[in-house]
Amino acid sequence: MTDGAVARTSSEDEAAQAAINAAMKQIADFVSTEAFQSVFAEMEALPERLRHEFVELVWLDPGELARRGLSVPDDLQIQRSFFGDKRPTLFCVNKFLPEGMGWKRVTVTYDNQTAGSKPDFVLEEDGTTFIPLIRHAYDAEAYGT
Amino acid sequence: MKDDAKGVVAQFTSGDIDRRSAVKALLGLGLTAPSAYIALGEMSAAHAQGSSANDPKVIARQSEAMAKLVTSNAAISNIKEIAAAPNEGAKVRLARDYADTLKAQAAKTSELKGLRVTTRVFEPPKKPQDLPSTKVIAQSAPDVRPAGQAPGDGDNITVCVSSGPGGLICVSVGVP
Repeated sequence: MTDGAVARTSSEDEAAQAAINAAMKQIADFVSTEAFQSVFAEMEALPERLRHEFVELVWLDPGELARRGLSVPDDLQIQRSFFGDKRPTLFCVNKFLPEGMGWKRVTVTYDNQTAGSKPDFVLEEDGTTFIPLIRHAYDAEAYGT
Repeated sequence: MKDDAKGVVAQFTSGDIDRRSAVKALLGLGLTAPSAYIALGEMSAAHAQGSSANDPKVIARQSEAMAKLVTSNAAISNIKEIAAAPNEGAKVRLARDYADTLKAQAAKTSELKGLRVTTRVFEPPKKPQDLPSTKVIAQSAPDVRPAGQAPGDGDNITVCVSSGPGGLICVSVGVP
């Protein structure tokens, strides 16, 4: 621990570990379900260049997930995220932890295998959100690239 | 292929609907994604393949090891201290110290190979109708900062371990 860190009791440590364990177990159980595995297999059958679109059209669409028999629990979220170290991320399943744990959320993230398959990223119109660029929808001439 | 799916493909081929609409329509008709892309000529049937990258047993083992790591040896006190740092410079400095400590601890655990500490930005959850299709106005690089540059608002400090072929799965804890 660095100087100045607030001392914690062993019971607080145990409570935090139990909360993180429980959250991670919930995610692990969810991604172990037959329905999740089936959707994941459907995505894996695609070339990596098409998987980002699959994330947009299926993983982020509760209707498409429901059509495939997959219901996401209310306290879990399927999202996209972008790492500072540029790993070729596709999507993640995450859960927020109770207040006071220090850590705020736990996540299981799925990536493409090939870093080069990551699409270009673009800034959405509101200027706040990075989104993967689907090449087929991209008018290079219009954007001067 | 059923007639309605053939109709969608015909509409796409003739230019009556765009590609994105065709993909969504085919999925809406109940085609699997590979079948939809094959119908539109974007992949061959021979390409369809799977892997064993998504192994729940690996995730479970990693999760357990990660939980021990990030909650033991006052790890949580460290992360709270980082979050409460008086300025971004101090936050980055503390995070680096903490990362070094974590890596040293992780080296002792076989389930925590590939541990790294990095920043992360989460896209807000969206409803399908809000998802962008062609509404793109500017191209930019993903969030990658020069060494030492402070994280900005909305960034997470994330500790990750990766597994599977090529490190396809990452189990992580983060703030926030």
